[in-house]
Amino acid sequence: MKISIRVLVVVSLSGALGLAGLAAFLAQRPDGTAPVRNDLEAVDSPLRQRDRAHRGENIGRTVPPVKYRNVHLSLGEVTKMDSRQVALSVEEIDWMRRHNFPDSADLASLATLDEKALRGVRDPRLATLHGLMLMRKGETFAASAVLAHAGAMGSIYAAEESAVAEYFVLQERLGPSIENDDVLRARLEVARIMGDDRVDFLIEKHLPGYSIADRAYQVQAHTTVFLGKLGESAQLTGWPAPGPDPRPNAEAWRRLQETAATQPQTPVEVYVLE
Amino acid sequence: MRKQTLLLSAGLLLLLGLAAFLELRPAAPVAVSATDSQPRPPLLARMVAQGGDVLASIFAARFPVRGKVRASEADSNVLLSQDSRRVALSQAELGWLQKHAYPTDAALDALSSVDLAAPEGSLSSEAMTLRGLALLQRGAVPEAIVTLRKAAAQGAIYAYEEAAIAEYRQRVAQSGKADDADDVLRAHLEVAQILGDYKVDYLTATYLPDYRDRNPQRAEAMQRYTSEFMRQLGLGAQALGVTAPGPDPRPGGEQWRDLQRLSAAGESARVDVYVAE
Repeated sequence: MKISIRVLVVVSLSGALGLAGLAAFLAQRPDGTAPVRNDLEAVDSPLRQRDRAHRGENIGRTVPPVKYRNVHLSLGEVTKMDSRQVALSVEEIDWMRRHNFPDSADLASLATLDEKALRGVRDPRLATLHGLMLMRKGETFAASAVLAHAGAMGSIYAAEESAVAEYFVLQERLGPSIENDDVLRARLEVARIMGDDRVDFLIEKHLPGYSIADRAYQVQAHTTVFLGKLGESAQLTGWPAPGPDPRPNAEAWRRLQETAATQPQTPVEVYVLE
Repeated sequence: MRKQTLLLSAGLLLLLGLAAFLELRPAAPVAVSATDSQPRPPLLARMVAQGGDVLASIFAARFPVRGKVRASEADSNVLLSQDSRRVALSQAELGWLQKHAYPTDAALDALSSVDLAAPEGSLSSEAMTLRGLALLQRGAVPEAIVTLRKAAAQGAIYAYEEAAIAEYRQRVAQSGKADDADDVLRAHLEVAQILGDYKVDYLTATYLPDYRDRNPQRAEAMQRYTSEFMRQLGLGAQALGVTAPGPDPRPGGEQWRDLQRLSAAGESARVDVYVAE
């Protein structure tokens, strides 16, 4: 043998380091034998807060303070636009932020986000941005799954966008059907129950001829199951199930729509996330 | 030549290990420090290693039982024929009943001794439920409904169901049976099911046995009421400054369905039921 001690030491050390790296890698794989993280109760532990901050810094989008601006529109304009994104008071703006409605900075940042850093993130806001980014890239199926995950963590906006994305995926694969309409209507009803009465905009946009009077039993059955699934998901992941958190100004919106029907030119000051 | 091969192999192994380690880093959880004050939950892998039903282990961890548990046997058909909302077929189900303030037999037997003069401000959901039931027992129905709804806003599903039944009975007693009262009760029971209690079926079968057949055209009203009642739960929680309870399915659904299938086949079984002492 013509191998020197120095070579043997180098080979041994390199081999040991390599094997250690591989072992560390394999130890983290969820292959049924390695430890799998299962934080049933530690919902917002310091560990999770640090993880969230770490990932937020990684993608360059930590939670900013709520910024909004006043906009002057006519009632007719407000009722024609996506009124989910419009608030009639600062309290409503706070509610929108609480349920992860994206602001203009969020939407502008979608193209530059680091998708890898966002994968598997356990934060409703970051998961919502991840889903919207996938949607922007045309990956509708993946976007629907990620947004549904964000919805299960309490992001009402993500739940709504997920419902619409799923509807289009199913429509593309199976063609239009009343059952698919029932499912979308039920998923949007879940969003309403979670608190967003402005979801009517999506119902009118995507299901214009749908008769709830004819399909109410089906819609209610689906709605109850979907809400139950949110609970099941919460029990298995340890993330608390979102409860109803009604959006402020339901009555003001109703009056606004009534007035808009007869006096659409009436000016109104509204708030939007900036 | 052999020396070069060895060095090359070692280098490759080192690179492979390094690459694997680096690949791992972005997704790896932040290390748990000694300052994490919350107890660490059991690992899924440990549950698997211990054997048994993983889901049962998860549910048992999720719904721990307070107090000493006593198990006894019962006939499945007897359970199905009566109001078994307060019956648990597993310790996890018993833990869920406790979490949602389902009263025990002993607590119901002692309703007459509930002190209604005590201030209700700081009552737990269990105590608030018992106060509501005591008011109901003493005939103070409107106050009972308000109290039970307050308990429901804190997660007491049994209190929510009892408030719905009390309201329905009061309405039927005052105005007779009406479609609208049926719609409201059906919607309240749907809300209870959404919150997690599939055993509410017993109340639907008892009070509204033919609702769907009688009311095909009224489904929309029931559906609208359901959404509105969920919204009211949220508004109630906002008013109390607490987070509204989200859906929390009762464990044991499959077990209860098995008993129903057995009953439908004309058979019955002896099953364990659990109560806390």
